[in-house]
This record gives sequence, C-alpha cells and structure tokens, in this order.
Amino acid sequence: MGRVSEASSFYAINNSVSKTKQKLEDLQLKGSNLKRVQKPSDDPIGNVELLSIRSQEVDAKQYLRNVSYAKAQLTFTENAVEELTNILVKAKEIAIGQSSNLFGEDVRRSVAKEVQQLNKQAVSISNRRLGNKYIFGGFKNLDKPFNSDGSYNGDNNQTKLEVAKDFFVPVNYSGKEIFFDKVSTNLDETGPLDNTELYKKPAIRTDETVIPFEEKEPIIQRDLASLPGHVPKNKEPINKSVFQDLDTLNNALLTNNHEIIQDLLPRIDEGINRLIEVRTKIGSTINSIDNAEQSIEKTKLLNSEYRTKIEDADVAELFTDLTRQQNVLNATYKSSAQLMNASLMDFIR
Amino acid sequence: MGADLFSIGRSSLRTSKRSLETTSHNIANSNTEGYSRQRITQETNTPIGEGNYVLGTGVNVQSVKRVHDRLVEKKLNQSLSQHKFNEERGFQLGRVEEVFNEINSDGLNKVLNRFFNSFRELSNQPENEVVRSMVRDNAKLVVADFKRISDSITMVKEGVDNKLTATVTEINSMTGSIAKLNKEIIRLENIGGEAGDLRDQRDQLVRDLSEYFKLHTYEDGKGQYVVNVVGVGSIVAGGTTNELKASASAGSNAKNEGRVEIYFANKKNQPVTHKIQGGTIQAMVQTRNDDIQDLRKNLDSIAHGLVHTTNAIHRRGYKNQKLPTDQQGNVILPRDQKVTNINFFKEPMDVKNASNRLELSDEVKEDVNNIATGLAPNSPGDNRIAIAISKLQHEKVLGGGTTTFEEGYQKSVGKIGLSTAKSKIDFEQSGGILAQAKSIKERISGVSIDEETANMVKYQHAYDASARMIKTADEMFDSVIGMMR
Repeated sequence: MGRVSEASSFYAINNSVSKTKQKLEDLQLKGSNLKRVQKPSDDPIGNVELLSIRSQEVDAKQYLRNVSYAKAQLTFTENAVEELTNILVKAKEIAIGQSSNLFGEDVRRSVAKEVQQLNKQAVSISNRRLGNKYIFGGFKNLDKPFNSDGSYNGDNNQTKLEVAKDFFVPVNYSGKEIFFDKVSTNLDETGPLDNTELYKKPAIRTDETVIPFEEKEPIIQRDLASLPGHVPKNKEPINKSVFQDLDTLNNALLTNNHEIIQDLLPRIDEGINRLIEVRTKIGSTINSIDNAEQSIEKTKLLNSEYRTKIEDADVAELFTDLTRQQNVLNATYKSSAQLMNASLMDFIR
Repeated sequence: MGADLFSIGRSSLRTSKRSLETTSHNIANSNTEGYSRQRITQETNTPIGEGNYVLGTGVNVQSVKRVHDRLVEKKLNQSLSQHKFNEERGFQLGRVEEVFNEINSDGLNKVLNRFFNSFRELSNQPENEVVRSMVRDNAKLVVADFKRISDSITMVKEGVDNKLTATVTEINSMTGSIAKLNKEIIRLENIGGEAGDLRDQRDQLVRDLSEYFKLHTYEDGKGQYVVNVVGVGSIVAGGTTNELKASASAGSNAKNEGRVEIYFANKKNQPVTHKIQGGTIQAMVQTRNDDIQDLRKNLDSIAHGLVHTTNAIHRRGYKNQKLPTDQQGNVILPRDQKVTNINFFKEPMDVKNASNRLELSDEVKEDVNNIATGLAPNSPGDNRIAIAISKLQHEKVLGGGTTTFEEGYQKSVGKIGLSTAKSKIDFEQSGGILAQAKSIKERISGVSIDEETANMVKYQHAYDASARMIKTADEMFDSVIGMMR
C-alpha cells in the first residue's frame, strides 16, 4: 500500500523528530550535572543501592567520629595512668632508698614531704576530667570520683563505644581498677548490651513489626542490686588503695619505721604491675581501634568508587552520544524539510 | 442527436464539477482531525438501445463515499487506549516517584539514617545536652519527613480524584454528542443523504473517548450504533445515553476511604471504577488503589515499627536527672515525676495512618533531658539505651523480622522506581504502535495534496473537454441552422 497522505507523512516526521529530540534532551540533562541517574526510575536498582551506600557512608562518618572520640578518651586515660605509674615508680625509689635504717629522722621527714606531694598528685590525677567528664568515675562521671581521703564515689562500669558496626570498645577504666585492686570481672570483654535484656534473641514476633527484645516495664524497685548493670556499692577498704599505700609510706617515714617501708615495697610493685597491665589493655584497645578505622576508611573508598559508578555519567561516552544525537537531529530536520516542501503544486501552472 | 450531445455534455460537466467540488472539500479538510478523504463514484448513464446500436448517454455521480476501514479504526482506538493508559500511568507514577527522589535532595532514607546516627553520637557523650538537642532535632526531621511523604501521596490521590470527576463530566458530554450524531446519521441516511462527514465526527468522538477507557462499538440488529465500555457496559445505544457519575460517597461499603468512585447514574451502589480497562481512567485508578495504597501501608508500618521499637527501649532507660539516694546508696524515685518509663514517640498508635500521626512524646518535646541514655539511674556516663536505639538501624524488625527500617523504605522506593521505569518503556512502545496505527489510518483515509492536485487537473481537463463538447454541439447546431438560411 504505497499511498502517502499529508497526515501520514506529517506523523512520520513528527514522530522521528520528537523521538530524536527527546533523546537529545535526556542527554543534555545528564550533561548539565554529569549524573547518570536523575530520578529513581532512571535506574531503579542502582537508586536503591545508592540509598544504601549513602547510608553506609553516613554510618562510616559517624563511626569515624566515634573512633576519634574513643581514641581521645583512651589516650587521655593512658596519659593519666602513665603519670600515676611514674608517681608509683618514684614512690618505689623512695621506698627502696628508705627501706634500710641508714637515714635519720630529719632526712625521712623531708622525704615524707615529697611523698605527701606525690599523694596530692595522685589524688589530682584520680579526679582528672576530659571536658566535663571525670574519666575515672565509671558511669557516674559527672561527680568527683574520689574524696580527699581517697574513698571512691564512682561505680565499676565501663562506657563502651561502637567504633565499627557491632564492634564495641571500652573507653574508660573505673577508678577502682586503677587506684584499688584488680577488678575481678572482665568487663571489657562483654558488649554493652549483653545482660541488659534490651535485645532478646530470638525476637518476639507480632504480625508485622518484630520486637527484637523483651518488652517489659523498667524495674522500679528499691532493690538496686537487681537493676541491670548495677554493681553493688561496698565501701572500699581504704587500705588497699594507691593513696593508702602512699599514706602508709608517708607515715612510716614520719615515724621512722623502715620495716613498714620494706613491707610496703611488694604492694607498690603490685600497683605498678597493675597499672602496666591497664596500659597494655589501653594500648591494645587503641590498636584495635586503629584497625577498625583503617577498615572503615577502606570501605569508604570502595563505597565512593561504587557510588560514582552508579551515579555519575561516563563523560566521554555522554558527549560522544550527545554529538551523535545532534547529528541525527540535523539529518532528520534536513530530510523532513525536503519531504515537507515538495509538492506537485510547484510544477503546475 | 444534437440534443443528446448536449445532455451528455451537461452530465459530464456536472460530474466533473462534482468531482472538483469533492477535491476541493478534501483539500479544505486535509488538516481536519479525523477527516476521511471522500471519493466520487461515477458510472455511465443507462444506455439507450437504438436498432442495432447501444448508445451511451453520458455519466452520472453514483455516490460520494468516504474512504474508511473499520478494522483499522478499531485497531487505532485500541492502541490509543493502551497508549493513554501508559502515558497517564507514567505521569501519575512520576509524581509519586518525585516524592521519593533522594538523588539531589534529602529524603526519608537520609533522615532516618541521621536519626540513628545521632543516637550513636549521643552514645559518645551521653551527658552532653547539645547532643541531646541534636537527637531531638533529628527526630523532628524524621517526623516531618514522614508527614511530607504522607501528605504528598495524599495529594497525588486527591489529584486523581479530581481528575476522575472532571473526566466523567467530559465523558457524559461526549456520549451526549454521539447520541445526537447517531440520530442525525440515521435520519440523513434514511432519506438517502450522505453522512460521511457526520460519521467522521462520530468516529472522532469515539476515538476521543478511547483515551479514557477501552471501548467496543458495533451496530446492533436495528441499526443502532452502540458504544460499550469493555467490562462495564454500554454508555451509548443509538440515541440514548447511559450517564456515568463520579463521587466520593459511592459504594455501599464505606471501605473506599473517601476515594472517588465511578458508577452509572442509576446504580449508585455498584461502583464500576475498578472494572474499567485501559485508558487514563485505569491508569489513575491503578496508581491510586494499588501503588499509593501499597506505599502508604509500607510507610505506616515503618513509622509504627519505629515508634514501637524505639519506645520499648527508651522506656527502660532513666532520664538525665540526678536522683536522691538513701543511706545504702539506693535510688529514691520521686513520686510526682516520671524519671523512667518515658516514651520517645507518642503512644498509643495504630498501624493505620501511623506515618501521618507520628509525633514526639510530650515529655521529649518539653525537655531534652527526658531523652533517656542510661539503663541505670544516676549514671550520666551510661550510654546503653542510646546504643540500643542506634542499633535498631540494623535490626531486622519489619515484615516479620526480615527487613530493617532502611531496607523497608528502600524496597518501596525500588518498587516505585521499577514501576515508573516500566511505564516509561511501555509508553515508548505503545507510542510506536499508536504512531503506526495512526499512520496506517492516515494512509488509507488521509488526504494527499499531491493526489488531489492530480485529480484537480484531471477533472479540470474533463470539465474543459465537456465544455468544448457542448460548444462543438452548439456549432453543429449552428451549421444546421445556417443551412436553412
């Protein structure tokens, strides 16, 4: 059927021009901001991936903030513990020096002044603050953890930060662990939500929303010991603390009793060892934070690479397409003009 | 003999003139939408037998017919319905899609993410009041964005409702015109008139109607022209119309939630909206009843899940306030004030419309110190509640424990994206089919100026020649008269 009417050729021309123009417009839009995806329907799957990558990127940023936060706090703690170690080392030197009956009362009295000074320093370290937070107070970090007599007000809890997904590190050590004896519970091994019953697996199912934890009323009872995370508060016997050790040394010096000083030596050693152990723990924690940081940075890089691949237009390809499409449009115009302008009328007089 | 020459010449002149008139009519209507070119059918006059001869008596116009193919017309209407369906669907989905477009702006995905990350930041510094305010601000953004999305898709729904009402009015005025044309065509054709132009007009109206829904047209036994909406029933039968109506109060069940439904004016309780196939109406209804409904349901379940899970954790915590203790160091809870069991979002809450009703609890609105971070009282450094809430981000709580909040939302966005992308492809495809159908129709029925020009010359020559013929007859007549002189 070879018949061509005015309308049919008009539709044909219209169709081909608008098709070419639409493609050109699309390319020009992509060229204007160099993005391949302008709306979800441009690449539905890619768009969803973009959303999830962006989430991961924001998460990574937050984890990195947590990393620097944890590191700052741990470094600060480590410095304090180091200073405290130095105090104990000095005390040990003094104790060794004074453990014989070589020195007279006068000398001991002046040395005692030095020890008192050390004790004061120890107390000031124990109440050290980062920002407005006392670093050795456990969860009670807004109250002074140590009284001037060396008794402890804080608790035995560790604050934990998430420095990578599901990776928690302790960022504080309680005053008890540092200044008293070793804490028997190994707190830094557990996750912050363990034993809290905040999440319970397997989750409880309702029709739609799954509650991943047991819904229960908070325990409102006076019996604090049953509160999750509560560590019963026994008044610490003061004689085991660093302060008491220093005090004993001071008294021994003042009373010129070298036997007590001798007895004190292994206790001071014990304290130094304990602090070294804490510092090792902090060091290894910082190490693991560094590792986490590196792996976050790596994922971040990979993610942004992947995102670029989904989201950004291939510039070379884009502009080649653009030029080609422009040529196609020109050709369409030219051929259309010839078809539209030709008429038998022109040849009839 | 001479008189016969005159009458043959006259018939030829008349026929050529009629042909030229038709050519002129064709050219005049070459750009009229829906016009079918017309053609003269001419035939020889009844010959006269004279002895052994059979003599021709000239020419005569038998009819003026429009060039038209019913099947092509039908195909064109069908592809128009399909194309309009795809076009409208693409348009409506495009509006919905825009609500979920986060490529160059912030959307719920980002806002939710920030909400959880602000709790993560709070877990760094649970005692910091500034961070608490940040958490509340981010929670407010979550609330606002749920509302934005909910309102936006309600607007799309209302847009569909309004358009449906307007469309029905338009349909009724068109069916009225078709009924009128039906009567006129029957009247004209009964007295032997030509109704080609009117039939063209009627075809054009049917074609316009096909934009709204799929139609089936036929002439019944009594010669009545019937327009049937496929799946619904007839809207025009001969000279009578069956009026449609649209309103939000239709339907016996109140389950339509204020949606506008279409029904026959005489059957208010039987909405036919969902039975309509093809065209803009099905596209609008599908977007409104399926896509938007789906989205709202999913959005509501996300909002509901968020409220429920956040609150359940938050209630276990203690607000940021120093509480008095007794001698054993046990906390004394104040009687006149809530320090624990505080909701973060407002409860109670149904799943239905949860996205629209989402709100912060009064306590949190009032004072950021009511945001609980610690699981134990008097523990400003306790960040476990904040951590637990931030962990909700990766917890699979929706859809029976299969998806996280973000995944749930992304699923919706992905679905809308896919549907929109599909409608775009469908639109291009049906556009091609429609263009083809149109082009076939125009090839058959369309006016070709070149053809008409050729015809014009042809008929003009015939006209000239017949005029010459009459002149020749006249001269012959003159010569005979001259002989008498």
